[in-house]
Amino acid sequence: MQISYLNDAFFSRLETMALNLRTNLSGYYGGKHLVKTYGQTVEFSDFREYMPGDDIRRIDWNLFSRFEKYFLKLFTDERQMQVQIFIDASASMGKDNPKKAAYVLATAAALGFLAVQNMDKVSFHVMKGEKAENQNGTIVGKNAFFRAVGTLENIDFSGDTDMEKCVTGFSGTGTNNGLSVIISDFFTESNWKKAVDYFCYKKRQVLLIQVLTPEEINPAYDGRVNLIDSESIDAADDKNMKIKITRSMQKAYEEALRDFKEDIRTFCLKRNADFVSVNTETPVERMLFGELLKAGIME
Amino acid sequence: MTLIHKLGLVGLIGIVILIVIYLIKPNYQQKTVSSTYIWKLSLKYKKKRLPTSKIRNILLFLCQALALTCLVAVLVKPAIVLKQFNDEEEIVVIIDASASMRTKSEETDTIRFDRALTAAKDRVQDVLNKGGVVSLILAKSTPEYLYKRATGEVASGVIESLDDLSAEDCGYSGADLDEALAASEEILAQNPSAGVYVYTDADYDYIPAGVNVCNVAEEGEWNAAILSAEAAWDEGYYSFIVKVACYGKTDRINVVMDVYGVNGFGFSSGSTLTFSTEADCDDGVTETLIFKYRKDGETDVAAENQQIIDLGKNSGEKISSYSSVHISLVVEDSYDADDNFDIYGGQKQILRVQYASSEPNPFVNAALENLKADYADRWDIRITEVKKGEPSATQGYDLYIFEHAMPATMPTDGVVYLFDPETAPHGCGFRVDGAMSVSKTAGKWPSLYGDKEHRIVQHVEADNITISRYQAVSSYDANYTVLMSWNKNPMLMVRDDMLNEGGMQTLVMNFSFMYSNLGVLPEVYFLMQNAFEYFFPATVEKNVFEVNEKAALTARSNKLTVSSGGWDAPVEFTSFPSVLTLSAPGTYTLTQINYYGKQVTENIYVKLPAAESNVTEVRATLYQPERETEEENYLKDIVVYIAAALVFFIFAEWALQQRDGI
Repeated sequence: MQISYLNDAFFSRLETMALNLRTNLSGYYGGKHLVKTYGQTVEFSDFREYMPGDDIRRIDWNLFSRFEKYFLKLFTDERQMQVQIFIDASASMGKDNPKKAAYVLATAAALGFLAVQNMDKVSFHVMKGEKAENQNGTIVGKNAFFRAVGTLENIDFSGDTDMEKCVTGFSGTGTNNGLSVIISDFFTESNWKKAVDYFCYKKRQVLLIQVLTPEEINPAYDGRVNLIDSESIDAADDKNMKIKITRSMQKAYEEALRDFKEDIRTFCLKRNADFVSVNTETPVERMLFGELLKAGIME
Repeated sequence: MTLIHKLGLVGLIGIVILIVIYLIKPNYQQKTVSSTYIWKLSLKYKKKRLPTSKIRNILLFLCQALALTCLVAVLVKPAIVLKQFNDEEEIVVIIDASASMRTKSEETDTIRFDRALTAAKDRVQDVLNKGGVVSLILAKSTPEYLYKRATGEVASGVIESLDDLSAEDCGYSGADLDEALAASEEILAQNPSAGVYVYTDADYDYIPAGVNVCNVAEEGEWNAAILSAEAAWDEGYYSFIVKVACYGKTDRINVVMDVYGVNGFGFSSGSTLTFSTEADCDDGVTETLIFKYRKDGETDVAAENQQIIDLGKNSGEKISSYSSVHISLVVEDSYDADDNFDIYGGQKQILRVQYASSEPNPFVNAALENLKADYADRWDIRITEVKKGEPSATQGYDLYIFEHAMPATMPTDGVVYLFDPETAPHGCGFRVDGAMSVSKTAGKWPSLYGDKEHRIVQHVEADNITISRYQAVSSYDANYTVLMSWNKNPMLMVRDDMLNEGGMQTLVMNFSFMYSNLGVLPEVYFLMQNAFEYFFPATVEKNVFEVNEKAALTARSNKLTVSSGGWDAPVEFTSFPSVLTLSAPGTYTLTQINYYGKQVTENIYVKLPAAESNVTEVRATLYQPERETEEENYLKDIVVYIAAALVFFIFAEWALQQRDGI
């Protein structure tokens, strides 16, 4: 049964929210994101002494009457950002767990909606195998967005994903022009860290969202179990394992998962990237208004 | 240790099944997950934290296997063997050493005890030769182990101990066979299958299981016995009651009674009278012979099993005293220890009493007359009353009573009572200051305070005695003990220091019967009787005892010599009261030289227990010694401990399972 969070009520609750991106991004002209550079908006930013060549129409005559010096009045600039959302479409993300897939899509759609609402460009990149496919191209405007959302719901979660190759092989990655989001469980042998480093190299703001199911956080099964990895090719795949799950084993799992998440968090912290780990049991709204707001991605 | 239900060992198959279960462990359940990446990471954590998991697995299997083993052990019901029965025979031999075992058979010319020893020796020899175990108990009044669980290694010693036994070891009292059987329980506790053999001379209506009675009595044995004899004081003369019996035979028994020292004093004086009669004794029936003086015209009707013999028929002299009476049976029976009997106590000791009073009163006279009557069987109390104005004697009496007027000097050859001493005689040990009057308090004469502990004032309530005048005694010797007092003035004092040089026996009453209510109180007689008992105690309480009875001895001397025909040398007693155990039958002579130099000789007779005369006795039953009869009682069940171990292993297994979380 397909589960979907994407409906009018869901998007209407996002109307009041916006993405809070860093101001050192350059972006594109137009848009609604205030940036550090000075522009032609009406929002005052600073004064600067007149220099030859400056437009004399921008001289503040009130200051001249007071100081008998020429000062220019500077205004902030507003730019349009490009939000690139990379969705891990490996089997682990939803082949056997529709709820997880739905949660991933809802998260991606929510971020996409916030971007579109702020006049930003958005693109959805479905990572599968070694490629990141963008079926909808760059989306601007809500009409295009909702069309794209329709296609997102048809994503086939299967196989495995090499995030490094998917990201580094993506040619449309701009430089210093927006936010890159990777939505995955990061349960992969591929070097996803290089993908993050690649985004950092491209001076993009990075957000990693780890989506985990309750069973992944706290496995309830025990005893002698032949764990078949959802991304495995067959029973003989090395990803599969036979294990006797005991209470101590469960504790070891919990410790391993905690350390794994801490490793991601530390890695992101070093690169000024944001990391959020969410449980699919957590309502999407709470994740958006809670976790992302707390992380500062949303405002 | 042994296994009661060996079939339960089949349960060990369970361990095999357990091993098979471990070998064919259940297949792994398949689970498709996306988190194998984390599971693989967690393996490092698991190894790091729990390196002993393999040991735990082994422990788990061990616990399960041991729990199964315990379960099997519970099924087979293991037990510790507490007592391992010997294949060899074990016996406990009890030999009756009662007086009746001295009965002699005319045919074999052996006594029963010897026959019992011979029979026991044969049995013991037989058992020891077969490698058995023997215990020997000699049953006297208190059983005595001769050997405990003796084996063939000490066979010669056991036989020797039986050889060493003789008629001398056979007592004169009864044997407590029941106690001996109870003593055999010590052996039976160690070997419940041991046989108990009792060598005795009686038949039993019922013999308990496991007890074998060997009656060593022989056909033709019989006994004529004097069961008891006593003298009775009958209107100024003695009569004699003799009980005889015949066991094992109905016969006419010739009974001879010799009365020595008739109406004389001492063994040497007085005549001897001999009486004889024939008693028709039925087997086992006690015949009572009454030797008495028949009054003129009196026709005595003898009761059943009773004969009355007129003492006046043979002699005109009536017996008012005698030194001893010897009764004998002229028979040839199998047991002669009870064919003779002596009666003593026929000569009362003379007690001379002088009562000297300046104002004689009826209270003292009445008390003395009462004493005379009460102790007539023991004492011939001869009272001499010194009239007013007549001189009183200070020697020649056993008891001096002075009232009011005192002699100049204290008598030294007898006990002295001083009542209301107006003066202090020389040597009395106190000083009299003269008469002192006492006034009433709240309308009542003052009463005395007394020490109730002393024998003289037993049953005397000093509170009941009131006085209106007394003789003040300002000082007295430390040898005096104050028994009653008023206002710290001694009212009744006693002195008894005969063991000291110049000692005296003196009772001082410092008030007069005239000036007190003592004369009308019962206390006056209690006081006189207690004082008499205190100063003139009976050496023994009676003249006839039974073997093994204990006689309490007192004396009016610091030394009492007891001699007996059964002893090698006389025995001396120097502290009193003493106890003398009378171990052999016969006459015992008690000799003492009293405090005043007079020799006093008394005899007592110790007789055999009447029951021992019955040599053909049929008794009801014997004590059944307790022995464990249930086989389970020989084994100590250890199932409880195994069950505890089972619980432990189950708990340990559970704990390991919990920790391992299978």
